[in-house]
Amino acid sequence: MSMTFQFDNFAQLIFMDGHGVFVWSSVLLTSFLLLSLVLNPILKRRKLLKKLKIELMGSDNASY
Amino acid sequence: MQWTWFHKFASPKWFYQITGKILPFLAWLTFFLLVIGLVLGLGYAPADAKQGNSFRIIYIHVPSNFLALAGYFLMAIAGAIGLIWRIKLAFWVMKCAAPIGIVFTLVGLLTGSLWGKPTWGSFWVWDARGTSMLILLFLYVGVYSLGRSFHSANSGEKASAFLAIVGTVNIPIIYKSVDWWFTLHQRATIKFTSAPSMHPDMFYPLLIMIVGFYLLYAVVLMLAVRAEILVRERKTNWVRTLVLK
Repeated sequence: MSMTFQFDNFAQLIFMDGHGVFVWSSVLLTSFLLLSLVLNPILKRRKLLKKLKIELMGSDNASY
Repeated sequence: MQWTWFHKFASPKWFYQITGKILPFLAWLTFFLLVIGLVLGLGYAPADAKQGNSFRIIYIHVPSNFLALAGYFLMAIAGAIGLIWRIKLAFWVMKCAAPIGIVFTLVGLLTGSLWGKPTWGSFWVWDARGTSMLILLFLYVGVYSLGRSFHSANSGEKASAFLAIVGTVNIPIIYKSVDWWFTLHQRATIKFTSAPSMHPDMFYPLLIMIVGFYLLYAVVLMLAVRAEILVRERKTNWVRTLVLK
């Protein structure tokens, strides 16, 4: 398998003979949607850990 | 005795700990596969003889639709395990798989639409495959919202598990739609039973993307289930110890 780069320059890679607008908007849309799937649970977990920590610290003081 | 692995896997604490160890490695592997696959697919694979460069959308469209289908199976199986063995972790996996499935199906439909415009001349065509994928999206949305529409979390989980299981009838319909009906979609280019009808320079980047998408699915599902475990188990001692560590 000897794969060569298919485009002569950067502008051609973006334009893709007129298909670039479809190809690149697919890539951007997909990246945005899938990245949100990754970030959403990470942020949710981080926020929850912080909240639980505050609650537990608070209840420790209050229980005394 | 031989079932201990099953019960161990059903323990939220064990799942949380083991995924915490696997995730960093898995995430990097996924990242590299997706970057390599995308660079090869977008830049190095030869343009299609008939479709030109628009065919490069295949490197996102096909893997995301694979996962939309596989994810539905996973969701339904998790629901069935939850119903049969009353394993709460299985229900949580099912609950987390629904929104992930919605996103993968949406990616499949949107990229299909963006591929359809230059190829078929329209953003949407009521062809058998597209329509059955749209039904899959509605099934995912149904499972997602049914699970959240009960006062008791457990009733919602049971109801959406039933819907998920019933909805699996749509999967073989989607799979066979290109053979059963006359559609604009081409027939399967990759089959388990024969060599792919695709040039290797086009095929290998696709294979890399498919493996990358499978791993990505595993990563996002693990992340989502971990967050869900913390929410549901926040009153338990092991979570308290974890929080205060």
